[in-house]
This record gives sequence, C-alpha cells and structure tokens, in this order.
Amino acid sequence: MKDLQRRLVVLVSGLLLLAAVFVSYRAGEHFESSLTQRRLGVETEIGRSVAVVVEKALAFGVPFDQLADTERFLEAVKFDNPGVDYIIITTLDGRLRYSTDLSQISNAAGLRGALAAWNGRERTAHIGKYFNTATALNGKERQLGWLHLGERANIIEQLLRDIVFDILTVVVVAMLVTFELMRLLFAATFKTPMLAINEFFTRIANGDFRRTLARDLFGGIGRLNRSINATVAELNTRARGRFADGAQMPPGFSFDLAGERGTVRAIAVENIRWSFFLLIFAESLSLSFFPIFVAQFYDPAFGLPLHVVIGIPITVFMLAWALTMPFAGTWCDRVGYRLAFSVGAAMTTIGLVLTAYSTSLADLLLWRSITAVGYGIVYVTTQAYITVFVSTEEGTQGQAMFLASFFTGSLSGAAIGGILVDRLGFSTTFLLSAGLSATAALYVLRALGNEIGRTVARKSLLLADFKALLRHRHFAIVTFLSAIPAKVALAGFLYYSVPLYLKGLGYSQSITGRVMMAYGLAIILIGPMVARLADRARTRRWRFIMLGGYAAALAMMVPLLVENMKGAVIAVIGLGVAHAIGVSPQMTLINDRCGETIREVGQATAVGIFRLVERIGTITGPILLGAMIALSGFMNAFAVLALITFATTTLFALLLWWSDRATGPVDIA
Amino acid sequence: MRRLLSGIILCTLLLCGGTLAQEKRYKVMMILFRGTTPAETGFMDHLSSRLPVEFLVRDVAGERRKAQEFVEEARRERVDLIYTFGTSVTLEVVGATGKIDPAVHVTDIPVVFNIVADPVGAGLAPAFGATGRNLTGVSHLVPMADQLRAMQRFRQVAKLGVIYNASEPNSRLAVAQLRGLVGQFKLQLVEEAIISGPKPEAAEIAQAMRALIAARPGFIYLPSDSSLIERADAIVDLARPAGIPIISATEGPIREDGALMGLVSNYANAGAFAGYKAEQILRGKETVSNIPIETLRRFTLVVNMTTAVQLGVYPPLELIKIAELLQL
Repeated sequence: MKDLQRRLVVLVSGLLLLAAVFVSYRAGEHFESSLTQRRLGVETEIGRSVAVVVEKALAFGVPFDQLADTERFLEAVKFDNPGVDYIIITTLDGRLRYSTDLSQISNAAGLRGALAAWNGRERTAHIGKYFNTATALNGKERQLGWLHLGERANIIEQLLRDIVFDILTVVVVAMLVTFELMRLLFAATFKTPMLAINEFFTRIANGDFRRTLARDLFGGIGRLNRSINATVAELNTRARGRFADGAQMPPGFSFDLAGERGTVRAIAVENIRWSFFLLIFAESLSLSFFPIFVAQFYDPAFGLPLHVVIGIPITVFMLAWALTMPFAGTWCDRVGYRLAFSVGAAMTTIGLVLTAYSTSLADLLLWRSITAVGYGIVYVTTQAYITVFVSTEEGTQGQAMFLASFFTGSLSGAAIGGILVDRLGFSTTFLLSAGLSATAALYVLRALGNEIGRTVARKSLLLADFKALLRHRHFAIVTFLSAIPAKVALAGFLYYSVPLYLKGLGYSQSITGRVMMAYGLAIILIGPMVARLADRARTRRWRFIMLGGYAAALAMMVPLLVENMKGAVIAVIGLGVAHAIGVSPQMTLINDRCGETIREVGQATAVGIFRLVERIGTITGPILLGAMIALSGFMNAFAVLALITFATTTLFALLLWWSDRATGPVDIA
Repeated sequence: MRRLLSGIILCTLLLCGGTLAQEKRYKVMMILFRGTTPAETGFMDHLSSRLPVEFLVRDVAGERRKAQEFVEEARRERVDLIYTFGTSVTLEVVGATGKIDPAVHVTDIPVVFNIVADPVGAGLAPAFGATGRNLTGVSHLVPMADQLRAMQRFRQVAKLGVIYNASEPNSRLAVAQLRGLVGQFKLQLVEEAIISGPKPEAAEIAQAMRALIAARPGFIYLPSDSSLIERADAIVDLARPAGIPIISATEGPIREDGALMGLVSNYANAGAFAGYKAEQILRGKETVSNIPIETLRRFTLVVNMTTAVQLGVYPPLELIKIAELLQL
C-alpha cells in the first residue's frame, strides 16, 4: 500500500509539474505583447512625473541650466522605480545636461551619441540594449529640452524572472494541497473500504455473518460493498428461512436472525487530517498581513505606541489558544471527536466572519479570542484523535503527520493568503477563511463516525504536576532557556515583525506570504532529517538544541548585516532551519533527562505542561517585539532578540555541560 | 448558514449604531482674535465630522479686552468647550500661570488654544506636555531642528546668522534653541541682538543687519517674534543686496516681505489637531489637564520663488516637488 501511495505521489507531482510548466510557458508567450504595452505606459508615467517637477521649477523661473541638485533627484526616482536604468535630461539639440549615474550603462558613449542624433519624432525607440522613452520638457513659453528614460529592452526576461517566484509559490502550494487531497481520496476510495472489507471477511471467516458493510459514497473499492452485502443478506435470509423451519444452526456460525445487522466501518485518520489541514490553511491565510490589518484600527488615543498595539491581538489570540487547550482535551473526550471538532471549527468560522467586519480594536480582540478558542479545540481534538486511532507502532509517525499537516497548512495558507489579500482586500480574505473553516466543520460532521474518546484516562491538570516538573532542573533549563526563546522568536519575529518589516520596505503582501512560507518549508524539509540524526545522537542530543539556538540568533542578526529583502529571506529561512534543528529535540531531551518525574506526572500531562509553559514565549513575543520596535526601531529590536537568544542558548549549553560533567552523561538504554 | 451569518452581521451593526444614537449635541465657543482663518476651518471641519457640535463663533476684532464679554456669555450658555485663537486672547481667557483670577478667568470649562507660538514663554504652561490646568492646545511653531534640516536640504551652509530682540521671549527662545543645535548641524552661529526694547527703531535694526551681513552667513534666521516680523520687509531689503537669503520661522515674512523660505505649520492642520484634542475632551476619553500641549508633526515648506530668482538661489528639485512655491 505504501508503495502504491509513493508511485501515486510521483505520478501526480509529475503531472502537476508538467501542467504548471505548460501554463507558465503559454503565459510567457502572452507576456511579450501585453507587458511591453504596459511597461511603456509605466515608463511614460514615470517620465511625466519627473517632467512635472522640472517644469514646475522652470515655470517659477529657475533657469534650465541652473536646476539644483538634479542628479540626486533623478537617482531617487530611479531608486523608486527599479525597472528604470537611466534618466537623462538633454537640451533641445540633444546635449546631455543632467543624468543619473551612467557608469553602469553599457556603451554610455553610444547612448549619448544616439540621443544627440535623435530627431525627436519617435517618442519611443530601441537604443542599443535599452528601450528609450522621451518626454518633452516645456518652459514658460517654449520647449527647453527632453527627458529620456531608459529601461533594459529584455524586460520580458526580467519580469519572467520575477514571476518565476510567483509560479513556484503556487506550484509548491498546489503540490502540498494535492498531496493532502490525494491522501484523503486514497483513504476514502481505497484504504478505508479495504480495511472495512478486510474486517468484514475476517468476521465471516470466523463464521460471523451478522454484519453489513457501510454504503460507500466515494465509489472506489467500496463499490463492491453492495454486491457483497447482497450476497451476505441472501445467506442471512436463507439462514432465517431454515431457522424458521426449525433447523439447527451449524456450530460456530452466527447469523442475523432478527434482521438487523450492525455496520462495519473503518476509521481513517485521513478524514480528520484533511479537515485539520483545511482549517489550519484557513486560519493561516491572514498570517502574512495580520499585523498590517490590525494597524488600521490604531488610534493614538490608546496612549500606547503603534507597534505595541499591533502586537496585542496576536498575543490575545495565542493566550486564548493556550488557555483553551487543557480544557478542550477533557471536553473532547466527553462529547466525542466529531462534535468537538465541528464546534471548534464553527467557532473559528464565526470568529473569522466577525473579524472581517471588525470596526474597532476592542471587537477585533473579542472576535480573535473566539477564533482562538475554536482553533484550540480543533487542534487538541485532532491531536487526540490521531493519538488514539493510529496504532502504537506508528505513534511517532502519527505525531509527525499531525505536525506535517499543521506546517503544510500554515505555510500554504500564508503564501496564498498574501496573494489573495493583494487582490481581494482584508475583509474578503477573512470571509474566504471563514468559508474554508466552515467547510472543514461540515466535512467532519459528514465523514467522521460518532466515536467517543477511547482515550487513555486523562488526568486533569494539577498544580503539583507543574511544580514537580518545573522543579526538575533539566526541565526548567530546556523550557526557559530553549523552548520559550524559540517561541518568542517564532511569534515575535516571524508572525509579528516580518510582515511589518517587509511592509515598511514597501513589499506587497504576496511577497510577505512567500517569505513566511520559507519558514514552514525549511521545517518540513529539514525537520525529519534532523529528527533522525538527533535520534542517533542520543546523549549528545542537547548539542542540536544549542546549535539550533545559535543558528536562530544568527538568523535574526541577518537583517542588520544584509539589507532589504535579501536579509529578510535569509533570516526567515535561517530561523526555519534553526527551529528544525533545535526545537524537535527539546521534548526528546526532556524525556531523556526527566524520565522519573515524567513517569510520576504521566507522559501526556508532561507534554501538555511543556507545551503550555512554552507558550509563554508565543504570548509575550509580539508584545515584547512591539515594545522594542516602538522604542528603538526594527534593527535594534532584532539585535536585542538575537542577543537574548544567544545569551539563553549559551546559558543552556553551559548549564547542561556543567551538569553532565558533574554527574557524567546520562546513560540511555 | 447564510442567514446565520447575516444575522450575526446585523447584530454587530445594531450594536454599533446603538452607541452612536446616544451621543448628545455639544456647544463649543470659539473666541477669535481677528476673523476666521484656515485654522478655525480646520478645527470646525474636524470636530463636526466626528461629533454633533454647535459652534458659537465670537471675534474680539483685535481688542483683546472684549474677550471678557464672551467669557461671560460662555458661562451663561454653559458651553462644553472654549476654543481660543492666538496668545493674547488665550491669556485673556485663562490667565497666565500664577496670575489666575477665578472671577475673571475660565477655570471650569475646558479651553483648547490654537496658533500660540510659544505657550511656555507666554506663561500659559510651565512646559510643553500636560498642563494640569483646564487648558491644552496646539503651538504652530515648527521644531527648530526640522527648520534647520529643511534649510540644509535647501542649501548646505556653514554659517547661520540670527537677528533677535533680547527683550522678547519668543526671540530669546529661538536663539537658545539655535545655540543648542549648532553642534548637531555643524553650524557656526552669528548672533545680533536688539536691546532697545519691544519697539526697536529702524536704525537699530539696520545696524544689527549690517553687522550680520559683514559676517557673510549662508542664511539669516528670522524668529517668530512680532517686533521683528513687523520689520521683516526692512530686514529682507537689507539682506537682499548682499545676496543673503532669509529663513523665516513664520509664514508671513515669506508671503509678504520676500523672505526666501521657511518650514511652517499649515493653519488648517493646526486647527484639525486642536479639533482632535477637543474631540478627546468632549468624548470624555481624557481630561483636559492630561492632554499635552503639542506642536504639529507635519509642516509645509514655503519658498518665495521671486526672491529665489532675485538671489539666484534655487531650491533643489526634490524640494520643488514638495514645496509650496510662491510667485508674487
């Protein structure tokens, strides 16, 4: 079955890639004509905007040959319009008067010559490698000169290079979504019915004819169900007939004599996985623009700096989410997964709809809290469902699958959300999120059986457990020096600062979404590899955490060293790699070092408490960064965060090294 | 599903609408010095777009004493807020700190002043920021550092001259601020003080200007001091033959007397800012004593192009793009 799945994945991704390449190619062909026209319009517009200023100066009596600081002005225009390669102002007879720096221009002498010889009749022309647009410069009474604007002629190539990233984003997300859908389809049409048929026939082999197979709506293997059911029904009818005639039933066989047969249903984790993915995707649509969305509700009357206010809704969301989780667990055990998930997703839906119509910061906070509570319920329900219904041997894999769904949904959502919001605006994108989240709720209502938790008895959270764990030195070291700083970086740096920082640099939401996607991609691609390595490393596992910590500190320093977009991209990817290396070994290390205490409080409780405590970082991160940015700007805030991470990591490493030296490395059987 | 959603949306809208309907109609008295300026238009536009307000506009027409009549009227009419224009009207209405007479001055109605160059020097408050009195407002003076930055962007100079009246607080304030900034802007400051009192003679100004011109500064600074602003035409005429431009702290000398440039507050923006403060008070979001006295943060660069052409000192294109250019 695994092999079949793998071959399907290869086939589907191959088809998808082919389709994407074909579509991109055809789109590229289309570019040439339409884009040249559009670029031409843009160039004329830029030329006009410069000419307006020059003409304003001329109109107010500044002599044409005494325009002040013109080079600097032209350079600024060129900087604001990255497509422009040169701007030249000539006199009427074509002599160069003012220009941007021409040292980077290929064949500048040829360009001067061409402009000098230019007759002024054709407003647009190819000059050497450049596409030149000319605009007349008029003085009070007569024309005084020309403004020439040049753009590399192979602009299509350039634009294609830009758009390749857009296409790649869509292809990556499409692949991820396709795989999720494929898993669902595979499960619905093949795996689930096969398991059901298998169980059905196992019962029959044991002489039990009292079951029926569920009607299958997906029409895969399940189409066999009808004829199988009919055959078994026929056997049952005959048995009933024989029994009515007073015949003895053969020993070891049981038939359905009352005419009411129980249904065999197979449980597929994929059903909840798909809905979970959909919900995470929906909620993550706003990831790349949420801080910018919040900024529009800012009022100086709050008496708080803008950047702090922007952090509040993220913090409140994380807080509501964290507080929901312990209660959601017990509740979902009581009411069943189907109901718990649907209620959670419904709350998320309502929260998202209301968010779309928020009018003030106060209602935004309320609606986000509702969303967060729903989100928390869904999160816990899914985790519990997977824990219960994935067999123990596949337990780790089950958790890996859960996390993979989470990050895939999150990164796809962030990337697509950015693209959507650039075109549809905030409200529509939130409504779309709500629609997806409602779909997840409805799907779970239909597809999940009414299983009530067969959970391992869940303890309610006790204060004593907290105390026991936090008093354990290694638990405290890992939690406070590694886990919390990592979460501060995640929420404060990635979720909060990156959208604002990129917005400040003038980038669109879709670019922001794409940059944030890089974090999730790094986690998905590198995470499993590191997990395997870390498993092998055993006693030296803490070094991964240390490495991850230093890598995170370094990543957050990058924007200070490398300017603009490049710095942001490297930082986000770096943080993803750092967290892939450093975050997943945290729990394993705690398991290794605090075994006894963990056995005392129970594994699940220990994990729960760890997750809850580390959320201190998620909750404080945005506010912390907001305050630092308000006080001293982005760069200083990043530097401080990097330094804090560096310091906690060093302390973490020293403490573990010191304690290992004191006691000798812990031996793990 | 759709019905549920529209139901929720409807409820939200009703909730918001409900709070709006409860708002009352406010009475605001505006006491002006000499007719309505764009500052008042800005104030009224801001306030009436946000709250239901009835404005009682009263003009002292240059006679500051008349303000007392209007104060009486304000008390009778039980207005919610008083707006005052300019230093003298404001002093007349609320009194200087330490010299408040509750029988004459308003102490129980919130007062928002506008277009007061130096509320601190005038004795309205000990410092910018919250006053602790029933008073707040907007100063139209632009921070000195911003003025100097605009000047340096216009034309990089190493030496700045300043003429000031030693008996006028606004003048002294400007010089003190200039002294504090010369290091940051790498400027050499040349000062010429007028010491004969609040009404200097033409001859004394001419003498001070000759001394300044002899030092060949790149610009001469004209502070926001009415005793000098009244003589701005003479000051400009003296500097022009030497080819030295004047940078003015206020708009008048640029518009009317040929000073070259200045970074000044737009009156309408100052009015809107005062309106914002009034809105906070009326909505009860903040008590007047806690609302700081502030200057604007967005200013207008005004350049007299006739002067620029006469002097042959042209603003760079980046300033031409954003500046308000005047041609007389």
